[in-house]
Amino acid sequence: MNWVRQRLDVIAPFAIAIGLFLITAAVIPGYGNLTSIRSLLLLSSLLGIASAGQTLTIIMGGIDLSVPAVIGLACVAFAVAYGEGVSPWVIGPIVIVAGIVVGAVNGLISRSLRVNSLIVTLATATIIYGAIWAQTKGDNRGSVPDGLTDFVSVIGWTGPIPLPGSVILWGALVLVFVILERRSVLGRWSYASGANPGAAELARIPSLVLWTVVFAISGGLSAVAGILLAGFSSAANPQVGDAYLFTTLSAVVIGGTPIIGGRGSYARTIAGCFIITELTMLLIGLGLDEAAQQVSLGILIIVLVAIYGRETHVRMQI
Amino acid sequence: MSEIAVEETAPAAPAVTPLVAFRGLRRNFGETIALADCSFDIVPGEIHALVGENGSGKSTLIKILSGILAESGGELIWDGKVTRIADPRAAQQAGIATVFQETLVLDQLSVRDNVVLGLDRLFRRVQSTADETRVVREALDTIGMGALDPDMPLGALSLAQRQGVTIARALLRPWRLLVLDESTSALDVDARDRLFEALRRFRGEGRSILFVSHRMDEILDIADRSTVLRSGRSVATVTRADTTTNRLLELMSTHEEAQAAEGAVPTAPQRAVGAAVVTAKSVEIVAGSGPFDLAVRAGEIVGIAGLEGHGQVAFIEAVAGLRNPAQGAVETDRGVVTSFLNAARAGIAYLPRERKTQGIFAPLSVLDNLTISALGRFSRLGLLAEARRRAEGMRLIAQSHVTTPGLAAPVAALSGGNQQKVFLGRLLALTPRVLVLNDPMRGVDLGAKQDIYKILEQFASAGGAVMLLSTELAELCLLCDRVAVFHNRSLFAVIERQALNEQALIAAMFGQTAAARGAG
Repeated sequence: MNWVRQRLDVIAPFAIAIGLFLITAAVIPGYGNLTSIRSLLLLSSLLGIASAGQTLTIIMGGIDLSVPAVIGLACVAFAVAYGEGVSPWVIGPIVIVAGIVVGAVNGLISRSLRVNSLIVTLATATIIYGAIWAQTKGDNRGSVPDGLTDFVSVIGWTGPIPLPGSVILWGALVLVFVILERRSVLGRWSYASGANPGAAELARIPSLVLWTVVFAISGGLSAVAGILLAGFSSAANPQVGDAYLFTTLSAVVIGGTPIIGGRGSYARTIAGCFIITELTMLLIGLGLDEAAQQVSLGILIIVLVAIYGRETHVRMQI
Repeated sequence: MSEIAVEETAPAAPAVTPLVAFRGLRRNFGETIALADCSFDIVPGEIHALVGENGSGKSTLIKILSGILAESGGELIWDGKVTRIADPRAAQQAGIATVFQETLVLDQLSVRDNVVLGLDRLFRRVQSTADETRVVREALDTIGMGALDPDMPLGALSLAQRQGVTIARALLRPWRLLVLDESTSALDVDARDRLFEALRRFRGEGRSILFVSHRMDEILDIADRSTVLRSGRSVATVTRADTTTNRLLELMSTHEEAQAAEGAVPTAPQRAVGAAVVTAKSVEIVAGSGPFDLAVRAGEIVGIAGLEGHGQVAFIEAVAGLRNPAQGAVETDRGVVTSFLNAARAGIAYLPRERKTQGIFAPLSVLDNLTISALGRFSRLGLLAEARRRAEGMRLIAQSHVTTPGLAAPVAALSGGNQQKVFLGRLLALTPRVLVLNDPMRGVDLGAKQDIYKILEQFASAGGAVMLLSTELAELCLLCDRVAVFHNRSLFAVIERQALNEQALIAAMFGQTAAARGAG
């Protein structure tokens, strides 16, 4: 019992994710079938890939508000270039490198100028949206290769596995992130830097390098998410990532990683991604329109965060 | 020691009711006792000095008197009635005006606005600007700063002028007791003399002043009586006639604590002293404070002492590469120290003073806290070799005498003393040549202190050099081969082990040379 009590904040998000699934399955007929489980996994994987970098930046004590803009940029650049005949094996890596560069610049500026990353990444996002508009003038044709569409299709297969590639990619990413967080120098530095930025400097943690690399990871993964979403929506759409500002942050916080950093993990964010996706599917299943969905989602997130907020507060008092 | 009654030396008659009396006043912060037992009184029309070294409880007493802290026990009798001063507003209403040690000013506001700060209501000004200007001028004139432009922003003023503004602010209140907490430290001689003239005038009007200063000459000059605090106790109140520098220094020092701690530590350490590892050459902490040299050799523990704000902290920060001295340089055999990183490369490891904000990563494990600065040693291509890291963690735990449920326990779950030992272990993981420690025993329990003593002894015996800044004099006497005492932002004296005792340290901290004390 004591064991459970001590780990309540770790267990809670996963318990909620499972509970929510069972409730939805009971309420909505047909929710428990294979297809809806596959779509739950697919939607969660897209959110999970977009939230991975966000989790690490938040643990480190930063925040990346440029995620939706980089998603939009990647989506448009990839679909437009492919539509004009560029090979996906050329444009894909270019787009990802562009995301990495945007992220690196975010980290570099935030750290070297000591400007809050909230402001820097918000500014970067604005610049990117402006640049997309200037380039395309709102005329966003373009197309995506069939392989990519299959990669993010609910009925897609990965070799013999009855799951789309996106889900498999997410699984691999989870493994990499768990190792990164626990077993790498970068991971330990990130936690230390988020836990006590003043002490991190005096403990000889190279903050500038750390911030640049972590934000670059976030930028790169946002670009990957953008390419996947291009496949999902089959077109160049700069607004495709807009929902991901709120949902990536929510996934991190609902998972139980405090927004001030220093604690938490990507494993928790996985639970957060499932909770958000399940909530959305539940609300759609209940027949709520998009406006009502947003209101409900907002309320539910405040309730969940309030629960974790209390948890963090008690621990902070040690 | 009983209190000595005020006789002909003070203008006030001894029979009058004291304006304020403290009876066994106590205050503790958790287990730390800041004020143990403080009893004395201040009569109307008296300038009363409060004397004591760092941490003797002066500031705590003043904060209780100003309504910032509540007492934990004992009585404060204001104007004949037992009173609890609930908040700063209550203090102001009672007629207590305090000028604090820190110059509490707003840089963006003008001199006038800073002086009248707090006199206005939220939405309504009490006085017109012209009236304010006149009043502010008068108040500033009291301390010889009448020429100061009331419209000047505070940010543009010198430290002395800023201090003047805080004094003027207090003077504007209708006060009966003025508390000056080291408020004269930044004033130049002229402004100070003007202030003292004013204080004597106020005394003539029957108003009282509680005066805290670290300067013996000021106390001898102006105080009618002086109360000495030592380790939170009021040990004596002496009248002007009985006040000599020697007597005050004697009353301030204590030997008990030193003796209490001595038993558990290897006495009279015999260490092989090697070549100089760090050398300060003609270092001037701020421009004009006077250059000095100091060398720290391998196998040596050199103490760094001084009253707060006398440059000793700035000096060790310069050694750690956290700031540059105004003149001169700190050198190692690997060149001049110019930055924190370059000091680190030369083998200088620095332990900052604030464990909570500058040291410990509270949610992280003991292992992470120990190894975070040395992760490069346990990693290949950025991935950690956990077995090696854990082995090193175990070694550091043993070396630093850390008591912990395990390497994975969050460091926040340890006691303050164990956290400090983990912090020290992090420095040892770097295998430094020089440890620069900023008050490492502060807020640490006795057992942990003795462990830290052992760590430092072992480090020095193995050929390391230690610079130990401490505010606890008994400790400096116990551990150090010699102690460098700072006064007025420069090195004042280096006291060698054979001459090392608390009284010698206190005398040097107060800027008294042995010869001057003999004459005093």
